[in-house]
Amino acid sequence: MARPRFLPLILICLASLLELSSYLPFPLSASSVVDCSHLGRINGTCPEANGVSNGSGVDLTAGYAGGSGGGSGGTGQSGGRAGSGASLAEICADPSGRLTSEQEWNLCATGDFSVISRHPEWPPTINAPTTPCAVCSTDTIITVTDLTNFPAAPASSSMEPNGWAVVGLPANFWVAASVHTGEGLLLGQPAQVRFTPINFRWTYGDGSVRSSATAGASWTDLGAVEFAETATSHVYNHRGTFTVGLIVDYRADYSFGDQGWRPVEGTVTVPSAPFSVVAATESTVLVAEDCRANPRGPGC
Amino acid sequence: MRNPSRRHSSASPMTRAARFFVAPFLAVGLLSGCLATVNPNATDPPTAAPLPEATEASPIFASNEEALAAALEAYAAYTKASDGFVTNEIDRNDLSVFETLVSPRYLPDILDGLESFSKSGRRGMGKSEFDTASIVSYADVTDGKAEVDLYLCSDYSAIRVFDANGVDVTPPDRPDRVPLQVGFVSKVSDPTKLLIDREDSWRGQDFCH
Repeated sequence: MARPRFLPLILICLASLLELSSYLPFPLSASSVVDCSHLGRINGTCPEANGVSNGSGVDLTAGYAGGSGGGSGGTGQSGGRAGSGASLAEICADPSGRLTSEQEWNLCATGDFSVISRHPEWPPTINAPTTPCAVCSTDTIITVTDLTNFPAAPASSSMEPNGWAVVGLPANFWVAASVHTGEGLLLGQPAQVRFTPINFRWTYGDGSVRSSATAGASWTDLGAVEFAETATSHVYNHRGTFTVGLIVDYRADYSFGDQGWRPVEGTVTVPSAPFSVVAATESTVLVAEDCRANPRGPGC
Repeated sequence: MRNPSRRHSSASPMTRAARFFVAPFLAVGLLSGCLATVNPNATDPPTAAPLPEATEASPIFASNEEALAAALEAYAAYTKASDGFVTNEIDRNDLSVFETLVSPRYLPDILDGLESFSKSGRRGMGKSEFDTASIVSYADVTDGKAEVDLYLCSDYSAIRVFDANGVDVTPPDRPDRVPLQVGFVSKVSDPTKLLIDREDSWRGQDFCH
């Protein structure tokens, strides 16, 4: 809580900040100044475009020197002092209080400034490569064998009825596999790898296999009655205990730093932990009363 | 309470004879019905009808080439509309064309940029181009929703920006050619039509120079 005696100090700080803003080649209040759409790039209001392929230490202030207002319909604070005020590199080195988080992200993350982790909505733990990255070109082909540092998570499989099946009736199987991202070193560079499940291969233990593009879901989630057929159900025709296995095929994409996603050649296969299913026959008998209430009742 | 069955005790001999002959057939019929119920089909194992083939949706695009073609068509329409807006060739008060070209997620950003440019009083002259397009990825993320990513080089060298007084205000260091990674998503009403969803600068090796 600010005490009244600090008010003058706060006012001075605010005044300093406003004065500093006049040095900036863009208005602090208008986030729309950064426009990286097609139109924005025509208009020169996409600093990312201005900084691309320029190597390290890009001073983006120069990108605005020729513009009067940057096409932002802004507040009139822009322009004028470009080149003579604080450079964006200096501002990004200490952006606190000078830029909004969005500006900090949009502007400072375009050069090789180490402020990426400050963006509140995207806190990656890795930064963009700070040195020219030889393997980051589009010509580099990454295959699944390069992903040794990026193990895809085994998916958790389930079935119902829990652990058993009725011979002749569908038993329902499904797997909780989702898109997930890992971080680590890829060819020596900080990178992210994203795994997307694309295929599920079930082996039901009775010689049957099924390849499915859908992960399946429980009868309840599907809105189906018990023992209903589903896209991932299986019918056992014989009694016995069967070991059920699952292999999930993932498509992988990789990205160096905050660059775009590119596909990894090949498919990542991840086996899930096998589990047992007891298939038994069903018989119906007439009983005198509810066997759950009286297990020793006649017929139970 | 009367027993209704007694009313039939006075049936004629003819009726009795008919019953005598009919009864075995009824019994056989009932028995066969019962047997069918008890043992539905001894030779046919109770397997489920094949279903995954019937339920799996076919891909929205048959190949990456088809996805690339759809994405190029969408990007060409989008850049043509944007260029037309910049050069005042389309009505700046009617931005509905962008609703058919840009995803709902990205549309607010586009409209902000268009409105801002319009207020600035600027206009452009010329036309942009793009080339060196290649597909990064195509995936049907859900039934009826495709995502396509392209690399391409966008070329702005032939389009200039002027202020209201006719002065060329094109930033002198505006890149003429920019490597982009453009993301597309399919239109809800027609999944084979793609909408622009992202336009990211490609910060890896510049493949446009």
